[in-house]
Amino acid sequence: MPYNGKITPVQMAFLLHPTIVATALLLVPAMTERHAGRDMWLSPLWALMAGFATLLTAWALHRRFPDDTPIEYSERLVGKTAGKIIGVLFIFFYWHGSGSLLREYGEFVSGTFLMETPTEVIMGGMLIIAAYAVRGGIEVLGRCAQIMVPVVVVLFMTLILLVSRNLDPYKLLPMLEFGILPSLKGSIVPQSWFSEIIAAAFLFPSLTDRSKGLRWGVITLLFVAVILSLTNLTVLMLFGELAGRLVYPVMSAARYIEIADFLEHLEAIVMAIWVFGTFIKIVVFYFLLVQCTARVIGLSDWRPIVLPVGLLILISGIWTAPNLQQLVHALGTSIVFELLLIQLGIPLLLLAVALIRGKKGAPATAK
Amino acid sequence: MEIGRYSMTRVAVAYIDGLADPKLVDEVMRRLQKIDIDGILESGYVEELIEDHPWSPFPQVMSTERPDTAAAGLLEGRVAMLVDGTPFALVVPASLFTVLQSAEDYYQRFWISTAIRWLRYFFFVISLLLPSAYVAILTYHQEMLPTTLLLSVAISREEVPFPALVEALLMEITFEALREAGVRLPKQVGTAVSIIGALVIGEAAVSAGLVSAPMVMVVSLTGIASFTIPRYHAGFAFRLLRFPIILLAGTLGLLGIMLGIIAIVVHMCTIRSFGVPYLTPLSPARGSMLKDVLVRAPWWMLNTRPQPVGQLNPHRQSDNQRPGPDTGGEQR
Repeated sequence: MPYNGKITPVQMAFLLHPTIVATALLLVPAMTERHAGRDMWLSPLWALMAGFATLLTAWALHRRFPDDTPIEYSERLVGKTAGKIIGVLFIFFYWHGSGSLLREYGEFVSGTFLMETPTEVIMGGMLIIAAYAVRGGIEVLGRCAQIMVPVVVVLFMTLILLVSRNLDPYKLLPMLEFGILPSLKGSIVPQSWFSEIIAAAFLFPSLTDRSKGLRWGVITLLFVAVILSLTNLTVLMLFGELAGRLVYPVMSAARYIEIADFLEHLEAIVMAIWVFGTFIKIVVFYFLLVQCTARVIGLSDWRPIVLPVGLLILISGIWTAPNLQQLVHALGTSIVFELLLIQLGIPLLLLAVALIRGKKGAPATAK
Repeated sequence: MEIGRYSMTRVAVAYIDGLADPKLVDEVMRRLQKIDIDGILESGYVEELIEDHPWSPFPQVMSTERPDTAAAGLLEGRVAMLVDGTPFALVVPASLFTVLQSAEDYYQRFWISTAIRWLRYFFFVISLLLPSAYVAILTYHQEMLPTTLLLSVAISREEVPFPALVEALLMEITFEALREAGVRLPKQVGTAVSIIGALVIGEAAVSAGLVSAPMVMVVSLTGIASFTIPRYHAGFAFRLLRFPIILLAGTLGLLGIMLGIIAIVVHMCTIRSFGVPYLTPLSPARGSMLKDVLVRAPWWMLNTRPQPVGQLNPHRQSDNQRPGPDTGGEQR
């Protein structure tokens, strides 16, 4: 049951890329550094494994049920009641997820740019626009992503290029001082981010060319790993082990830029990267939340619940943590398990059930 | 076809058989036949009555007064409508880029056309964002300006009693009024108005300390930029959108501008013109068409008509027409 609309596999990649990268860019480098130290740039590469595991699980399930989203096939696999429970789990997960995401965005903006504007206003403004996009349906999301993500990537590369003058490669040494373990430990947080690729499971059924879904999913993951690794390398070569003490290392990196006495203080670029990227991420989460809710309840039309759900996301964003420090702490500890459990655990469970029961979807209607 | 109960305005639908998609032609006819109004005095009536998204500020019908632009549209497989008594042809489907391209792009050497096209895109962005960026930076992000520039701006703003937001709105509205006054008047008087407006008011306002000189520059640059958009009607949409963005910039700074941009992009992604998404070659992306959007590729590379409009007969010329000493010219 696709969402009346189709996106191309490339658009799916453009939607999924910021879904992982957007928030990972700002908070995760510092969190990784705390465990991995100088080997933090390796961690995203290890974390890639979790991404591939999730993606392959989602793909295997999609091959069995080509026309269904996880909400529908979980009901068909484990029965109506248990399926509904899984659906509700997904709803709460995406509710909490989009809420804390929105809060991260609000805290970032009010902490670095607009110190006196209430966070609620900043979050609310973003939500209104997101609601408008979500109402447009999956096609609109795909097109928006296709416009914005290239811009974000170009801006990001510009940023790295401009910072590169100040980089000191010797800060990377000694490499693997304490063996491989610290970088593996550091990869736990990025792993939870990588498992967000499960959103692909919800997008696969509405692809124009389903056979290319896996390919573009893999490309997305590799690209994400490259970007995150590049970020960590840059941050590390710039700040050394100080990176773990900074809340937003990339932001601090942008402050270093000074070229020809004219280009300085380019924090605005970071904000542009962040706002555009987060917008796509919020929109994806918001859209999935609306879809999950509509499907679990069994609504025939999902558009009327877009605004109420948005209001709930705002509330969840306010409730999620009392302040930034606690939010960051939660993101580095308990939320990691939540993310991995829901995004990797449940699909694996479903796949196991599907394998054991040998159940196939209804005779595939795929062309 | 005659539309209008009393005016009985004649409307002609023009297309090239074999190039235009019959479904598109049917759709145009269907929408035209649905019109029931007492009179059509100008093609703008028709335009508003056949649009896909009537609430959108963007023109979803390309209206052009140039025969060559209309003919080029027909050759691409578009459908044109001519309304009796109106010097404009309406061409559908339109997209943002049909609006930003001008006929001359195809008559000059492609290097020049590409450069001019980029210049136009740049000034298109300027016309939308420059005043709001100025307001945002002066109000919230002074640290982004280099110190010397900041100092000179600060000196010129010393005597100005208004915050940057009010100043910008004041000047923008004055400029719009000047333009509007100039349009209605006969040519000779119109020049007088622009001289009074630009020179006298601008100069006097600065020396009286009501507005700062940088603001006058910003506003006039924006004004010039908004005239680089080849289609007058499309220019209107962006001129109008400038005001909400200035307000957003005055309240939320650069973040406000970004939210404004996102909102506009989302809106443009939402709308379609006769079934064709508004941002067509860019998103949904069609690689082969980008060479006529990001750059203007030389004619011998533009083998296919713009998709999805020209899908009925996609090839407009034969391949391998690249001229050169070995493929053409004097045989030795």
